[in-house]
Amino acid sequence: MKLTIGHMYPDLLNLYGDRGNIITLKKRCEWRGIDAEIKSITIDTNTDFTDIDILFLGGGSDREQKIVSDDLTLRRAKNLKSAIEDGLTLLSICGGYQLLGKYYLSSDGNKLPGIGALDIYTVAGNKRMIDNIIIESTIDGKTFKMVGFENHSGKTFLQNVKPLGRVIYGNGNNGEDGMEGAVYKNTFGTYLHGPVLPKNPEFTDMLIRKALDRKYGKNQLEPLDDSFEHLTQNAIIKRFAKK
Amino acid sequence: MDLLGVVLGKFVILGCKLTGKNGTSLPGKLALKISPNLIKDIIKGVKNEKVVVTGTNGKTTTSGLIAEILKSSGKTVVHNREGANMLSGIATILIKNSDFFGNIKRDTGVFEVDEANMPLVLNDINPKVVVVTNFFRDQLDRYGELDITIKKVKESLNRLPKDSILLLNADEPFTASLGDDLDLNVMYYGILDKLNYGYSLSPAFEQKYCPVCGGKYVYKDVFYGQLGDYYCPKCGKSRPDLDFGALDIKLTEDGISFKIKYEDKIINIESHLTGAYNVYNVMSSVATNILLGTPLNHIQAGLNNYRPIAGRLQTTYLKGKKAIINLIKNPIGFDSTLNMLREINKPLNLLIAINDNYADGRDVSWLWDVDMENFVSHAKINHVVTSGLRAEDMALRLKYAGIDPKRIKIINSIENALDYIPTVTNEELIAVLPNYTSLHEVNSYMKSRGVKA
Repeated sequence: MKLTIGHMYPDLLNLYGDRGNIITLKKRCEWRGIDAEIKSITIDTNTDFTDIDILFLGGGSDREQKIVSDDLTLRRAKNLKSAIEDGLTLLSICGGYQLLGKYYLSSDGNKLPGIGALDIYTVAGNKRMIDNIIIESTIDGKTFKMVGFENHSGKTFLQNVKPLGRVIYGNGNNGEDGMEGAVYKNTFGTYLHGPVLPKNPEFTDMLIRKALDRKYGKNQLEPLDDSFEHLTQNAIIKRFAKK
Repeated sequence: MDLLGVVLGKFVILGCKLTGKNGTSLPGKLALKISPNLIKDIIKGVKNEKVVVTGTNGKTTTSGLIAEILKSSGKTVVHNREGANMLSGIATILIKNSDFFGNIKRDTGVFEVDEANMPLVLNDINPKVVVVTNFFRDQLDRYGELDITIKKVKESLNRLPKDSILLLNADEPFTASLGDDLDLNVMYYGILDKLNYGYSLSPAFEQKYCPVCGGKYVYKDVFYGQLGDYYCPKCGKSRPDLDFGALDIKLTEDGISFKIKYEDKIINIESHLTGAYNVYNVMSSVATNILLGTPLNHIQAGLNNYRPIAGRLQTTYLKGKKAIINLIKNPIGFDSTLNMLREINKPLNLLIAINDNYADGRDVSWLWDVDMENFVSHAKINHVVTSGLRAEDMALRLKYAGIDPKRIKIINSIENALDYIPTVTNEELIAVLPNYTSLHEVNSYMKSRGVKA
C-alpha cells in the first residue's frame, strides 16, 4: 500500500514547525509498512489533486500568505474544491484553514476571497490569540482530546459546517463561541500548531485511515506504541486544563 | 536627574546579591517604574560614542567582542555582558556601573538589545554605530511574526541622528533590506569567498522571496540558513556591495582565520572562536572598531582576550569528563550546534533541556524546524536525556527523527537530569544543550556543585 502526501507551498507556508506534520504522517505510515511519498506542490507545480491521498496546507506570514492566496484562489480553486467534494483527506492549519473559507475581512474593510470550500469566514481581530490550546473532538464516533499552540488574530466563524472540537483551554476559532476548527467531508481546518499531528496520534491516524479507506477501502490500522505521544499530550493537559 | 530610581535600583541589586539571586533585570525594572528617564539620564555621562548590537543570533558574541576590543585599547566600557538585553536589563547594567548619584564613569558603552526592545531603548542610548546581525525565527509567540519585528526595528532606526552608522549583514536578505530607503550612513559586511562549509539550505530557511517584487531569490552561494550571495532575477535586487568583506577563510579545530577587505586595505584576523558562523561575529566586531577608530593592534589583542560567557560553547567537566554546554534557542542556532557536534566525530551523550517560559518563547513548535533527521542519520548518538518543562516535546521530536525511544530518557527536573548523565568513557563526549531559561538552571547546578567553567 502506498499513500501520496501533498505538501502545499512548503517553501512559503513554513511557520511554526508545521513541517512536523508531514514528518509525522510519513513516519506513522512507514512504521506500519505503508509507503509514503511526499509531493511538494508550490507556485509552479501543476496538479489536479487526483494523485494526492492526503493534502496538507499550512500557514505563513502575511507577505507569503498573499502570494499563496493569489495562486490558490486564481489557479487552483476549481480543482481543489472538486477534490474536496470527492472526499480528499485534507488538513489545513491557520492561514491555510482561513483560505479554504469564503473570505477574510481585513481590518481596513477589504474582503479577501478564499476558495469557498468550507462554509466559514474570517474577520481580522485586534488582539492576537497566542496560547496553548486544548480541545475535545468527536470524529467517527471516537472522542479524544487534542493539544496544540495557537497564534492568530483572525477570528473565524462557522456557518453551515461542523466544528472540529470544543475548546477546553485557549481561544479556538474566534475566542467567543468555544468552538475550534471545522470539518467538512474529509477536510479538516484548525488553528492548532505545535505541530498538531505528532502529539495527537488519534487525529493523525484518523487522517491516515480516511485516506486508506478512500484509496483501498481499508480502515483498520495496526496500533503503534504511542507512549511518548501521550506523555507529551498529557503534560499539556495536566498543566493547563482546569479540573 | 531623577535619582530615586538609581537609589532604589542600587538597593535591589544589593538585595539580589544578599539572597544569592542573579539580579540582571529586576533592579532596572523597578527603577524604571519610578524614574522612566533613567537610561537616557545615566547614559549622558558616558563620554564617547556608544554601540548597539541587535538581531536574532550572534548578539552576545558580537557585542562581547566589541567590548573586549575597546577594553584592550584602554577604554572603560559599560556592557550588558550577561545578555540581559531588554529595557530592564539595560537599566540594571547602567545602575550597576554608576554611583548613587547616577554618575557613570565609563568611556563608552556597548549594548546588545533584543529586537523587539529596539524602539524602547534605541533613542535613549543614541548610539554612533548600530550593528544588525541577522533575523531568524525566534521566540515567535512573543512578537508575532518576523515581519512585524523587522518593521519595528526599522521604525526605531529612522529616528536616529543622520550621522549614525548602521552596519548591516549583507548576506542575510532581511537584514540587508533594512538599509533600503534609510537616511543614515549605511554600511554592509559579508563574505567574499565562495563558501561551502557543509551547511545546506536549512528547513527553517526564511526568505526566498524578494521583498521588493515578490520574485524568487536565486542564490549563487549559501553559507548557512538564508545567508548567502543572492539576487532577484525579476527586479534585479541583489546582495548589496560589501564595505567589509571576509576572504581566505580558514576553519580549524582551534579557531578561524580570515582577511577583511576594507577600502583598499587587507586586514588579517584570527580568532579562537570556532564555527563558520563566527566569521560574521568577528568581522562585524572588527568593522565596528575600525569605524570607531580603534587601532588595529588593539583589535587583534581584544579578539585574543575574548572569552565566551557561560553557556555559549563553554567547555566544562561533568563527573570528571569533558562536556560542552551550548545555548540553543532557535532552529538555526540548534542546527549550527548539531553541525558542530557532528564535526567533533565522537559518540555523543546528549542532554537537551527545553523550557517554555516567557523568556524562552512559549511556543516550542520550532523544535520541528530543526534538521534533526540529518543530525540523527550522521552523528553517533549513544543516549539522550530530555529535560525541562517541555522534555516530552523534545523526546517526541527525537523519536520522529529516528532515535530509538529506548535510548531517550525523559527527566523534567534539569537538576535531576544533570545528575543522571551516565558515566562515559574518554572516547565519548557529553553535550548539554539548554534553551534560555534552562541554561540558568544548568548554571546554578554547576555553581552549586562547584564545577568550574
